Amino acid sequence: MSYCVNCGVELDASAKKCALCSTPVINPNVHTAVTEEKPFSEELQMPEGIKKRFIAFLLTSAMLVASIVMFFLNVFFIRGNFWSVYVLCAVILVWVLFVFPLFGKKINPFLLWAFDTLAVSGFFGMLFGMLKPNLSVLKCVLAVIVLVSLSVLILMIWLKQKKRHWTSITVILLLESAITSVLSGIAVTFFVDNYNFFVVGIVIGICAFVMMLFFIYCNRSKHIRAWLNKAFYI
Amino acid sequence: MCMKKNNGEKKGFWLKLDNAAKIFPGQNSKTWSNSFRVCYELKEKIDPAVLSRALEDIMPRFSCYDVRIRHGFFWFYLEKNENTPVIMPDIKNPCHRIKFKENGRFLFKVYYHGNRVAVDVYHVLTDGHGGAVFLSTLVARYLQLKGISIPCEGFVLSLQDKNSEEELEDAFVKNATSKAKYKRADKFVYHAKGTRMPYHTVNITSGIIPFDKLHELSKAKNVTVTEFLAAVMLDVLCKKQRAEKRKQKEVSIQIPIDLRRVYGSQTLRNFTICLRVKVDPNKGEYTFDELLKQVKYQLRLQKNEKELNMMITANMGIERNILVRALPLFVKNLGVGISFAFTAEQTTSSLITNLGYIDIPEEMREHIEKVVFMPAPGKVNAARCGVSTVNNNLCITFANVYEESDVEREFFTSFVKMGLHVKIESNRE
Repeated sequence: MSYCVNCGVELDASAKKCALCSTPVINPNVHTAVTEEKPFSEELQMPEGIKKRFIAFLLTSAMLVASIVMFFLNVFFIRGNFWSVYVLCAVILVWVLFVFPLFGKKINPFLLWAFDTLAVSGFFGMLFGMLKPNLSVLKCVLAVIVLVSLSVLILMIWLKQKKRHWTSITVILLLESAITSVLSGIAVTFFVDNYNFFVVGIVIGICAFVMMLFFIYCNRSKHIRAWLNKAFYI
Repeated sequence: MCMKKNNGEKKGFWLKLDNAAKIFPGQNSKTWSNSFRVCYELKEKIDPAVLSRALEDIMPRFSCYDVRIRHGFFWFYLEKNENTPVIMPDIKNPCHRIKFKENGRFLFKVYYHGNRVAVDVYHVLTDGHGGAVFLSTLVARYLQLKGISIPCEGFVLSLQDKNSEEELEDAFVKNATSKAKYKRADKFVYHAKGTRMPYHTVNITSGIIPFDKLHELSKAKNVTVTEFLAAVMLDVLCKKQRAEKRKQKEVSIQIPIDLRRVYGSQTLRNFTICLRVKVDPNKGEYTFDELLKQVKYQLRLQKNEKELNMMITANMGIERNILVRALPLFVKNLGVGISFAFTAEQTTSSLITNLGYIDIPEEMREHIEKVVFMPAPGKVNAARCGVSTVNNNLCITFANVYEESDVEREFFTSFVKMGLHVKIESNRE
């Protein structure tokens, strides 16, 4: 039987230190280590994660079935222009963006980025191939895709360097959104010659910038950061 | 892992979730579930083979626990589980998240370790009282199989009897008859700061105090043991907040009340409601005697049949609302999840749940050292505690998701300062 000299509570015979204040248990009368059974088990059991591959497999099957059904409907029943190609391309885009990452345990993020960029470009390429709009719209969309994918790449490289706090990540994310939206506005105005896109880009940029200032403040204030962590269970 | 049953029990048995249970599946996440633990410490080492047989023997008596949870289009429901539950060696991190398809789809887990047998129960099945009745019957059956004669009384149910309708009923439905309107007005309150442990892990600290001495102390102050413990907890949290030198917020303690004692129900399912006692440190520094008075009057003002009926009716009102009923289950779950993020633990600083005196036969008491009752670890509540008493051993168990043990330390040393003997057991290294 031992007592904590600091807290005054009796400790379990197997305790090596006080559970309340971590004061070590030292018994000068006992020279050999007594191995008492601990009241609690020492085996830590971490629950399994969600089986992502199974979910991915289910989603892939559902998408595949839907695409095949659409194709046959298009060929035999609801004939006309090849509308099922749009559905098929949209399904491929969704699969690459959301289902493909579920298949691997830890897929290289740069590989995902490359696939996503290719899939988005491919989807719009198909749209332009089918609809054949004027060339300036194609240039616009290409410019926006390049800008967004570049900003995502920069963010990924920055995140790869070391572990960052979520408020810092939010700040950078908002800064990139502000820059990307302004640049996209400029690019679209340049190609389409419509001033409204520039105004929209500027408005989105200002909103993102103001939100960024708020998160910079959060990043610096320990109290607000702790409050946000607790309020939103982060 | 689980075998299929082949005992010719009736198929097609199903139950609606009771009113309190309806929110728990919506709160379930991949990191947290609302489950609690009841644990018996015997005077001899547990024999797993006998325990496993005892569990098989008692399962037909508890048909409302021998179930699995299923998704309906509008509501979850409980359906007869065709598997047989198994017992497992105990783990260091009990009450981690429940996944409906694991553990043979049972919503409880039976563990053993040394002299201890424990059951982790998902709150959808029952409350602390139901969990204690289940485990008491299991331990009684275990002792019977060991050749000890144990009569069936109190928390030990007779295995010869069948589940009565009253045991399976949703007692909330029967008793929600108030016409008064209940206003919910809970503010965000103080939460103790700390370093959060990794998900699925919890620090457990039990303090064993002689019940007679504590009872004498509380009687001298003209309060109940639960009120006394709640006042100590409020005192600890108020002092902690003051020491943190931050903006002072209200400190609120949640105390679940067993409604069986108020309404005389026999249900084995959920039948508790949570009351809150709170103090505002901005009004000034409270002495311990003032806190005792606050807890006593606030609790007794709420704990009467009419007030409780009003609260039950308000909860039932949500379930009975035609719009809520018409919503598909996934929308309801989403609503519960959002509501849980902004109410529940956000409006309470901690929780004290007292199972009370475990009413087991004298013959069984001789073989029991103590009963440990641990509530579900909180999400933002620093330390939540469960209390249970047997054989003059009052066991207070903290489930803490923070690494620091300052709340527990202040709490237990308060009793040492009052001259009580406290024995500490913990899973901390």
